[in-house]
Amino acid sequence: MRYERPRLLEGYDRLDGILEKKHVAVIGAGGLGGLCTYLLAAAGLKNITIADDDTVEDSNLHRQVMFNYDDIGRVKAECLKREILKLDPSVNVRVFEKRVVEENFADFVNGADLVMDLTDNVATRLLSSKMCLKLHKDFIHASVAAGEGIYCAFRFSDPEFVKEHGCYACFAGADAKPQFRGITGPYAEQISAEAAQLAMECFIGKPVWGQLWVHDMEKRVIRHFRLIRDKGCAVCSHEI
Amino acid sequence: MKIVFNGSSREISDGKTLMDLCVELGIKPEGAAAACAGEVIPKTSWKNFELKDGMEIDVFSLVAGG
Repeated sequence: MRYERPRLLEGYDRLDGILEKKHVAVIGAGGLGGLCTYLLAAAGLKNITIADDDTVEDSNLHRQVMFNYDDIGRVKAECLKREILKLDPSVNVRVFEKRVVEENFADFVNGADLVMDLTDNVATRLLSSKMCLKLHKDFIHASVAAGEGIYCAFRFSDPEFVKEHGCYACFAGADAKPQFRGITGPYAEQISAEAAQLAMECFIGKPVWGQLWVHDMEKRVIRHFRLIRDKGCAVCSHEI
Repeated sequence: MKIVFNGSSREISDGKTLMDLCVELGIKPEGAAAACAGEVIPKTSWKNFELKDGMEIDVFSLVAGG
């Protein structure tokens, strides 16, 4: 019985039944997106769209654990699809090999109940929040660098949500420029797993929408904040 | 006056805004986010967000990787 153990947990007894009917669109199949998507498939998610136009490089292998040496040069999204189908051949995996841009965003998220931005690209991050708000798609953002990880959940399917909690640009700024820093494999995969857990919590109805977590993995401290709308936000003020 | 900054007590002079504090500490606003008493402080409010005695302020880095 595959889901016997999670079903023992309160609230998770119906998780696999919920995930079976859900569709998650993931942007980024690398350090965060790879393991996160795999964990969701393992938990019972049956419909997945993966967008990533990158190919596997040798420098990815220390942290992007879904890939191996033979994958170098191959498209990450295809390699991730292969690993998910080895785990569960009944999962419908759609590979979106193009870079996600405004023009193809509606096609990318078509049918998705949840969109997860797990990229290392700030422009894509800002775009995906903006487009999910516009298309009323629930949205999770997660990012990681050095010993710090951030993840948050936006319930854009509810038109009232943004009036109170805003969008990604409200807390990060429309001109966000995060610093490029180093990373270890365990740091990346820790946040990857936390993003997958957050997605599951969204689906089982835990009160995670409008919340932001900042995980200082070096000090082993997680801070939790409530997202607040920026009334002067250049992105979401046009959508309200 | 004293504020709690990222969990530690810190003495600052009166009348400072969150933006003033960040400039003083060398924190670049475009690479950071902030919260007060558990609620995110929207980025465009930083210039006018006046710090008051006893406030709990958290400033954290926006991280780049995925």
